[in-house]
Amino acid sequence: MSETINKEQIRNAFAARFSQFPVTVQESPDDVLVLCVRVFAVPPEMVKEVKTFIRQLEQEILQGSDHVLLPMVKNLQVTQVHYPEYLPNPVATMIAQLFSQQLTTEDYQSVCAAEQSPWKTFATEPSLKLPSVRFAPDILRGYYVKHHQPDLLFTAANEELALAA
Amino acid sequence: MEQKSEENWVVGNYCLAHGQLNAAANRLYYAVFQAVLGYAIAKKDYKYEGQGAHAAMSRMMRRYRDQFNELMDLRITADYEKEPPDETELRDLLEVANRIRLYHLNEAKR
Repeated sequence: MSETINKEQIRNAFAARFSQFPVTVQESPDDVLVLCVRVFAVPPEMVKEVKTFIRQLEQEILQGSDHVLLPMVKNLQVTQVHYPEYLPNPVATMIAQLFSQQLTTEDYQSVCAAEQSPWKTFATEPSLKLPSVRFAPDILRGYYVKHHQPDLLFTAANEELALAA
Repeated sequence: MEQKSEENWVVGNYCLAHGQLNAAANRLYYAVFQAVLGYAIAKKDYKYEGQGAHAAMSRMMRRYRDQFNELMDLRITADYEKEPPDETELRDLLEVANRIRLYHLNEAKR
């Protein structure tokens, strides 16, 4: 019972798989051995996948431990109404993705995958009343500029962020 | 523990039927928790040590551990989070929750 659990390790392991979702790891208020993994802004169709991954994390990280990882996944609607502080800026997220991914020029087809990403849903979900983001053209431009004109990408990113602020 | 579990199960279902979701999630979880706790005390020599009972009951689960943890998530949401527990999730868990409860109540008596 006195073992120390590295919550940062759990957060990092989660972020390595789902970097797009804000996550907190904290003890349950009534049982310190229950670690609540609170994940925010998850599209409804991904809730099950996220929960399954957290259960796998428990197997990997807490094997032989008395601790329990409890998935507490908040969908987009709940996050918008009750936890707006965890709603990411879609433009900033898109730009962060551009910088974090090691993409080659042959990866333009990934744009199709990006269009299916949660943030596409997030940005275009009418009930959320959020400003839409021109995702595919921006990403296409970003991919091109990243590989051919990186200085322009920094300028464009700053402009996008300034507009979004 | 059986009487406590029964009492909470009845109250939990009443609250759910009347749209009192926070109370329902809390009582229904504890109805299951107390059944498992009774079994753990009777058959697994479990001793309550001041904390860790919820984690210990979860760890004791095998087949229905995910569902038990889902119910715990709804109960913690009801007790501590800003939003109410999801009614659909709660209703979907009812049948298996009662199965878990009755199984452990029966096993505790054997």
